[in-house]
Amino acid sequence: MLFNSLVFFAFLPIFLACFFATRGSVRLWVCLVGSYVFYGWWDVRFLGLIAISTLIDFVIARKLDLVSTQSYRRRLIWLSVVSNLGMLFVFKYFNFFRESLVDAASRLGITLDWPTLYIILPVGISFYTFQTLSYTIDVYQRKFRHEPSLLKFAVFVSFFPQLVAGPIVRAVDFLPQLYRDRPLCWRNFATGSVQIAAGFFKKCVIADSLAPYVDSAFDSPVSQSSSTMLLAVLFYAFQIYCDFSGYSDIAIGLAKTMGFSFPQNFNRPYFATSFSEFWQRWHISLSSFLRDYLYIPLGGNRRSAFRTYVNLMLTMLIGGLWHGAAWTFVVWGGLHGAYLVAQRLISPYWGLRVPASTGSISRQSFSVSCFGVATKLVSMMSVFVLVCFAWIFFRSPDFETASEVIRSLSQTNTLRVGAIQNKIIAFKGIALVISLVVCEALSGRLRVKSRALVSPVFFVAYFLVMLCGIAWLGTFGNASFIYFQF
Amino acid sequence: MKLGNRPRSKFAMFALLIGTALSFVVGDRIISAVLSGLVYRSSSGLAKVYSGRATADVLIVGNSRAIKSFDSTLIDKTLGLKTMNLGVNGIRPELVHAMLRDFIKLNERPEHVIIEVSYLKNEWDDSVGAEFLVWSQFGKETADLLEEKIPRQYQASTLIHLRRFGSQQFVRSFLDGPEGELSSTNKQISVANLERIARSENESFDCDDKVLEELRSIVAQWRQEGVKVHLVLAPYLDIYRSKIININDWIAGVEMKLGSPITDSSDEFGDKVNFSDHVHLNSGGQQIYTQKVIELLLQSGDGV
Repeated sequence: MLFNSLVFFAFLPIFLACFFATRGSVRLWVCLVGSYVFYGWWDVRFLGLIAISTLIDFVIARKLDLVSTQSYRRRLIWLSVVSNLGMLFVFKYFNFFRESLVDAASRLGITLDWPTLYIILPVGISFYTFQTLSYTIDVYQRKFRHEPSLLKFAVFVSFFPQLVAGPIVRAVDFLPQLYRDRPLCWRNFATGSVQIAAGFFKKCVIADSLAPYVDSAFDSPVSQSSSTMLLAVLFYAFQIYCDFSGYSDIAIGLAKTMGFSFPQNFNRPYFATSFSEFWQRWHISLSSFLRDYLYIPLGGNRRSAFRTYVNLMLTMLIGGLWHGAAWTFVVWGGLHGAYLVAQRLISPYWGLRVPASTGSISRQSFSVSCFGVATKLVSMMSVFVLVCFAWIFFRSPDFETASEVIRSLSQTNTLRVGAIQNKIIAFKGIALVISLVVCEALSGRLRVKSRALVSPVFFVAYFLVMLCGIAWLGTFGNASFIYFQF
Repeated sequence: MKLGNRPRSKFAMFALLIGTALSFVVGDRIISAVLSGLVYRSSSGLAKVYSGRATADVLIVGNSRAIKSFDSTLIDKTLGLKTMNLGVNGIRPELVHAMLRDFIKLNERPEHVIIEVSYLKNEWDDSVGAEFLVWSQFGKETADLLEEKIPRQYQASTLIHLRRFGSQQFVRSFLDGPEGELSSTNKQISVANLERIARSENESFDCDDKVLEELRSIVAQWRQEGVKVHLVLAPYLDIYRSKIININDWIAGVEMKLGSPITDSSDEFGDKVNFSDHVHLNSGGQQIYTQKVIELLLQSGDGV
């Protein structure tokens, strides 16, 4: 079931009515059944996969918590890792590695006759396997006690708002919340609804309006002018941001209306002034997962500088591969790894050198402040441009397309406004992107008091603007969310 | 419940939600009424068609090739005939025919209608159909077509009127002049594009019999009323034309089913200097081809 489908708008009020009409374990059953209906609407067969994953990690975590023999516990955690990643490997990566190996072997003159698996990728498998994996690892590391109730654990794994495209919610954040019944509360309802509306606006108005321009440019990059391709790459950066952060906003907002608090998943990532800051702002739940369960166990930055660079590269390469079974995603991750390494290498030389001033104190502080703002802007723009360059590989289905995109971008003779194709969609896209950037810049500066946020006047006014905006400018074609494929 | 205080009871929350929904419906109707009025009075060709203000001597119909192949001003200057180009990018045959039927119902007859027939090969596309929701409020034939082809989007637009105004057609109604979209370009097709076309695979044209039958009846009705209808096929870039393996058979088939000859220029002026891409003439090519069309209109006799 898609958030932006008619069936979801029929499902949600029924679910919420049942949710708020019940208490205790009945409410948990409502959550579980509702979540399974939500997921099973897409393909009922894969419900079994979630159920198996739930059962395996529930049993393993229970054993992990109760057993004290370290060798036995180690075997158990490996069982959890192998079963979770094994499932992910079979459904997501088997054909990719098979094709890569067969291709590599054929280059060496060896013919491998390995079978292809004709299976479809279960939606959200990367998200819920990471979620259950984080739970067993936390229990193994004694950071968290096992959950004695299978019902609560099953709700944690399958809770529909974040089931298929995150955010990746950790047991320590969510399971304790299932122990308390939360009544229907205006504050939660208002703040949750406001975030849901913002998510829909990002998805239906911005992401889906930019998508046709991006799709047509990436479908035939060789026939595009440099300015069209440049715009398409820029639009893709905002399309994927609005698509994914829109989904996260809807998920977090839905949970909020029910009284649950989910961690923030995006925090204005394109305002980052460094790559490490970018990853603290982009897909926060994944980057913190990779940091805590991969980068730090690899040694993080506690060993030599060289080892830190290797750890960074490995983490980002695996992060790239997590997104999809293709070498283009690996290159995308590799580029981000390289950016992070480069940042570490040059950061000692990138200190803010304040220009010497001979003027008065106020003039000096003004020049210092101007210099600071200018440096920040240059850093922000540099990070954004390099992130956009990496997006080319993320969006391209293969390296041939990516190289055609880069070739098209380098044709500077067609880099002019007149060469922009489909100007109406282009200018609509530019207007939407500028509006988004201005709104995000202002939202960073203006701190709306929570009391104002839940006032009925604000609520009605906000919803009128959002609903009219979505109705007028929104694109509704049941377009799937980009991150569903991961 | 006072403004500024949060609603504390479930009833107050429910009342607030209902109030928000009602305010949205009212807002939707008010904004839509204003936008409808603006579109209806705008000076674009399609706005004139759907508001019954189209008073053209020569009407040009088709897809983007119709937009790029004809110079309305040149026809106007040379023949003294007011020319209106109703070409729409990527338009589908069913939409052209619904628009023409609405034209017949709402407007005075033109002297000449030039139909650039390459649009006939396009298959129905929902997103292109949705572009015409803005006109469905004024033209019954267009509304009926959209209700049949994209029922959910059409129903949504009758429920929430603002849905009609999110299209390029809405924006175009303020950008385009009465003579149509002005988009001729001096650009010549790029070498990279020529290489890509040379490497591309062969393709074939197709056409739906129902679509041809619709066009046949429209042409017949117009001809009965004394309108001179010219079916034309504008030039294609020569290397691209050679890739269309069934083009001659396709033209012959369309002529047979329509019972009218097509003035085929698909293999004329096919040199790359006349094209901005493989299917669209540039401004130089447009001038050359329009001269040929002017001759065609002159040959058709009275009224010119």
